[in-house]
Amino acid sequence: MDGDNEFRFRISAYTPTTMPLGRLAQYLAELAIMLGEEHAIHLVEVDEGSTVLVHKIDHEAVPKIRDRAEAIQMGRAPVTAMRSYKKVNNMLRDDNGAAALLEGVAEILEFPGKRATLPPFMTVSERGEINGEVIRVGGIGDPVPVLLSTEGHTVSGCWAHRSVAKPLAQRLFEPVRLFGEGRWERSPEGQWSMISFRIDSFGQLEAEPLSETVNKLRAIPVDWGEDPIADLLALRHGEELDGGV
Amino acid sequence: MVVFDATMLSLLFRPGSPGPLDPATGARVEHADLRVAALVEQLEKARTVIIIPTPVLSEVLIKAGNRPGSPRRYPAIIGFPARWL
Repeated sequence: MDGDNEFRFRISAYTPTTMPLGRLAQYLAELAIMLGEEHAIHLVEVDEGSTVLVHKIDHEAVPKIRDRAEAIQMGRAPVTAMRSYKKVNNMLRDDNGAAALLEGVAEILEFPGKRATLPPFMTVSERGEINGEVIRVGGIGDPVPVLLSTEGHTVSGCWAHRSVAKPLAQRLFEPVRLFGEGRWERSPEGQWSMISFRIDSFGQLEAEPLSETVNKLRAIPVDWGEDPIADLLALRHGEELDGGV
Repeated sequence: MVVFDATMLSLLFRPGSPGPLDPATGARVEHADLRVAALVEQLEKARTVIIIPTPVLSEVLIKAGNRPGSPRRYPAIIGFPARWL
């Protein structure tokens, strides 16, 4: 079989000869929920070495699988997928192993499993800022809950006193930068999530498309020379180098 | 969220720049402009937050500052109030 559309789920906990069938079925079930596209994923092979489950993915589902893997890694996949991801990691921890989902040789999703025995952080409080669009400011009490949309997902847990919430409500559905103090939590998988954010002040942002801003930057009359990257390297290392990162 | 380095910023500011060298092959990365355009499109579509560390911007503008032009306008366009949302 060719390597097209082939994804591998590599588990370090077992070899094919030591993997209990029931456990294998549990991993496969969670993997299917996690990645979605159940009907487009086909187990075709179990490789030697560590247990490597080779899946053939229907062509049209490949971009969706990639997107889902990225969303899980970023912690913004649907709740059911994140739940399965967490469950697989818990299973791996119980099995004293770790795993990875690979497309070809590229690791697209890590399952830290046993490696995720990080010292638990209860919470960390820190001043910070969040960019996004305010999509709801409301509540009968003080402080007032604020719902934010940022990078395609909804952020809850923000709140502001009425003195801040009232002018903020005037910026509904507009991009803003919120300043304040947040409380953050780290999961055993090493992902940070915000528990709450007290908004002390905010600033308005301009919702200009990135491409438009890039055009403005490129329109600035500056003589960049023939090869700015080579110039950068010369600046760092001397004039003998040419090009590269 | 993504972070731009000086190489990426150079390619962004100056279209038509020769691509960087691929450390694996030593050859120039081909179609650098197209790659940057595709990235910009992808980031814009996903409304991804872009981080440009101050030292990165400084390094890129140091070279521009020695040449004729208006490098001081870059921070005004990039900086607060931020536009790349």
